Amino acid sequence: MTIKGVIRTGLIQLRVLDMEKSIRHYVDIIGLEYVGKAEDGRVFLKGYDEFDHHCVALRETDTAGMDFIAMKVESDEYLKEITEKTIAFGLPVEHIEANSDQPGFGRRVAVTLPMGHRLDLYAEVEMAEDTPMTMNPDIWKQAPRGMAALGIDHALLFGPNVDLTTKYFTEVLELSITEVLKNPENTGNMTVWLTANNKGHDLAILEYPEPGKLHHIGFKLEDWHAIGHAADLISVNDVALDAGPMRHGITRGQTIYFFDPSGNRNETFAGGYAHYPDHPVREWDFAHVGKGIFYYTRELNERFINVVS
Amino acid sequence: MRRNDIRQCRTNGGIDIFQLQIEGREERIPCAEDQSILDALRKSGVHEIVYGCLGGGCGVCKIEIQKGELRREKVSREHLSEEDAKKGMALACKSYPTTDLVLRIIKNRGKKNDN
Repeated sequence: MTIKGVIRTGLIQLRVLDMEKSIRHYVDIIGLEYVGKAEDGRVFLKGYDEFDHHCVALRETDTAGMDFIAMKVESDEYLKEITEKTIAFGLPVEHIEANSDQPGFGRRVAVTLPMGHRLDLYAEVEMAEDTPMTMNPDIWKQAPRGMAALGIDHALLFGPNVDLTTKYFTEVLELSITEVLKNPENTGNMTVWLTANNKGHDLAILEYPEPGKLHHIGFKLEDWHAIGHAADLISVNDVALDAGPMRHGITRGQTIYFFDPSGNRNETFAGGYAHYPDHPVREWDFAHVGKGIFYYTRELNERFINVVS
Repeated sequence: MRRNDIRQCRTNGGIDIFQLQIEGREERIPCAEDQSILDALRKSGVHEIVYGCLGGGCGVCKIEIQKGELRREKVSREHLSEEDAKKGMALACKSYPTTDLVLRIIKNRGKKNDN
C-alpha cells in the first residue's frame, strides 16, 4: 500500500428537516443503502459499493447543514501522532469513544477547523453487514437503485481562514493540493482542492465570511451515462436542480448539483483525472472561474455561490 | 394512476385558488392552496424573487406577509426564527396560501436571518 496517513473522506453527518423525505431522497433517489436507525432517530446509510459500516448519518432537527465530516486514517498509531500534531498546531480536539454515536466506528478525534467545521479522524470502522463481493466478485449483488451512488466522494466546505486551514491540511494531515482558484485580487487562494489519495479531491475549501458552512456533499457515480440517468431522476422526481449535467474544468469531473429536501446541496460526480503526488498544482485565476467550475456554460449561477447550508 | 391524473382530479375536485399581490403592484397572481408561493410567483414571471434549495434550508426566497394567512411547512430556524415568523416573515418555497395574500419580497442572499 502506498497511500499512507490520511486515506479518504469516509463519513458525513447531515442535519435534515424531515427524516421521511430525506430517506426517500437519499435511499430511493440517490440510491444509498439503508443501514439502520439509532435510538435517537438518526439514520445511517451507505453506498452499495462501499465496505465500511456507513458513510452518511442523517439527524433530524430544525436547521440544515453539516454536523461533521470525517476522514479515515491508516492506523491508530498514526491517529495518535496526528492528534499530537493537531494540538501542537493549535486546534481544539475532542475525543469520541468507539461505538458511541456512530455504530461500527472506532474512536474518533474531533478537530475544530479554523473554518469552523468539525473534522473527525478515525482509524477503525467495521465492515458493513452487506459489503460488495470479494471472491470472484460480481459488479453488484442486486441491481442498484435510483442514481446508483457507489459511495461518498468528497465535500466542499465554505468558511473563513482558508489559508490557515490549508496549512493544517497540508502540513499536519499531509493532504496534497490538486488545484487552486486565486482570489479576485490575485493575492491568495480563494478555493483549494485537497486530496488524500489519487482522486481529484477529498475536500475542497472556499473562503467565505460565515463559518462552518456546507456547500455540497458529493457522491460517486460510475460514468457519464449514470449522470444522465441521475438527471432523468431529478426531473421525474421534481428534485430541486442547481446546475448540470455538466463537466468541471477543475478536477475534470462530470457532475450535477441538486438539493436534498432540507436544502443541503448534493453532487453526483463521475470521472475526473487521477492525481499522483508528483503532479504539479493546477492554478485558475479568478477571470476563468466560470470555466473552472462549469466547463461547458463557462459561467457561475448566483445560487451556486450564495446558497449554502 | 399517474401523478398528472391525480393533479387533474384534484383540480376538478374544486381545489381553492387564492390571489397573491406584491406590495405596490396591481397585478394578481393565482396560487393554488397546494402550490408554494414561490412556485406561483416564478411561474407568473416574477423573477426578482430568487430561489435556492427549494427545501426551506437556505433562506434566499424570504418574503413578508402583509395581509392574509398561509400554511407553513418546516424550514430552517437558522434562516427564519420563530420571532420572524410571528412578524409575518416566511420562506416562499415552503409557504402555501389559505387566503388571498399581500406580500413583500425580501432581497437577501441566504445569510443568517438576513432581512
